[in-house]
Amino acid sequence: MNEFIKEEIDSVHDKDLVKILDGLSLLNKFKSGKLKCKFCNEIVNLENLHSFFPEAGKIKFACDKSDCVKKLYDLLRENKISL
Amino acid sequence: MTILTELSKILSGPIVVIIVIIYLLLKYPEKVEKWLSLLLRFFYFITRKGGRKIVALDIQGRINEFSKSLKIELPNFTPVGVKLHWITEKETPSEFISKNRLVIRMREHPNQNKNFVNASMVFISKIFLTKSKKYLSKSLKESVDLFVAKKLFEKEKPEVLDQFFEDYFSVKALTNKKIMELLEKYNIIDRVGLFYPVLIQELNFLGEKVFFEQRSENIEKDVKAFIDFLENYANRDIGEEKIPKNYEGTFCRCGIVIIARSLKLAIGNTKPFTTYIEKLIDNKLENIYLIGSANKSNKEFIDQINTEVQENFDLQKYYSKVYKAEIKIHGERVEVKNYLILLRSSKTLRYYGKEYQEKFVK
Repeated sequence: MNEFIKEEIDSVHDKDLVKILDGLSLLNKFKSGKLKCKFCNEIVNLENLHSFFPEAGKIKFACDKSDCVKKLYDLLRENKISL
Repeated sequence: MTILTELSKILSGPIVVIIVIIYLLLKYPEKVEKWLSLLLRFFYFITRKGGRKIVALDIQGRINEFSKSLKIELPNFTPVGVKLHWITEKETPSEFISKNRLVIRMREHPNQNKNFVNASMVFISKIFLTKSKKYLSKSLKESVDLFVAKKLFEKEKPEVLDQFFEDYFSVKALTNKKIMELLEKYNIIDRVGLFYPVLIQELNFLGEKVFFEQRSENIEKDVKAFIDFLENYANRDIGEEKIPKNYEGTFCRCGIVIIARSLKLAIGNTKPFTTYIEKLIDNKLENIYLIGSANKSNKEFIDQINTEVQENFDLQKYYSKVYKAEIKIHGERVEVKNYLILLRSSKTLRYYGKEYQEKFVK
């Protein structure tokens, strides 16, 4: 048998995004363009949303610009965000 | 003919198919995931169902296959796989915050290339060389991750490479000069086939060796000098003797012994090599890589040296492999097959942070 440890990567599929954001009480803010990328401060929307994660008691968003995802990966490497 | 034999004839076909499927599932689960993802695309076309499964199986199959393949390249690498977990709307904001976990957005499967690149980068950043990365600078960590990602995409999904280069390697995307320079060095080291078997291997050993020491300039300097050493080695022309073949840093300590002396080989004289290796051991080098052509006679000669070294010194064969290398012959890169044996000392040094030493090491 294969002894292969697997790490879970939490994901949200586009089909479920609205439901999930609603559950997190963030849907209205998302629709009205009030959610911004933690790294570049640009509005996150369906076009550019890359990921979201908790930080200091709040939910932060990352857009898919190269610079922003690189900063996100830095946080992962430094164990400031987990999988 | 009895009913029983008739029945067994009818059933034998499907049973064989089922046994084969079960065998494949157990033996190559990641390949099955990849194929299943393709199959589901066909059904999706008709039923419009299974979109999440298509995305998850494709990503899991490819990343897990790559992770397992690293075990062949790096014997001390513990392969870790991924499993996509779809979060549900049942999670309240406070539950979500308390988990402190990243959630990646996955697009519909026609955008699967983007999904695959994002999931792979998260996987590599978080899981690859976890122990060693604690001691490396930002530029070293990022450059190693980018290069490994490039290797992953080349192997698993070459069609995403253009997008990946555009997003991460283009002049616009790669503004950090240090990272650009490091990537170029890795590329040269990789051309002679030593990126995984020597560079990443040594970084992996480093992660096992340094304890309780936060990232320090000394370790970083050591690793950077080691990369330069490997780059010089990779750039050497065949027969060039002036290039240093040993790296004696504080944390990385290894030697490369090139075995390709046709005359010594012809007379089967192993003495010059074993004497040289003895010197390396006296200088407390922990890992010694025997490298040479993989042609039959040279390979046998390397094996002979390996046996003699293990008999006479405190070194054990850690692993061996035949690999492709583009070596320089009179300034031109020529593809050859090389053979490598890693001999490792049982007396590897371990390092502890100052604070730890004061507390526990007398």
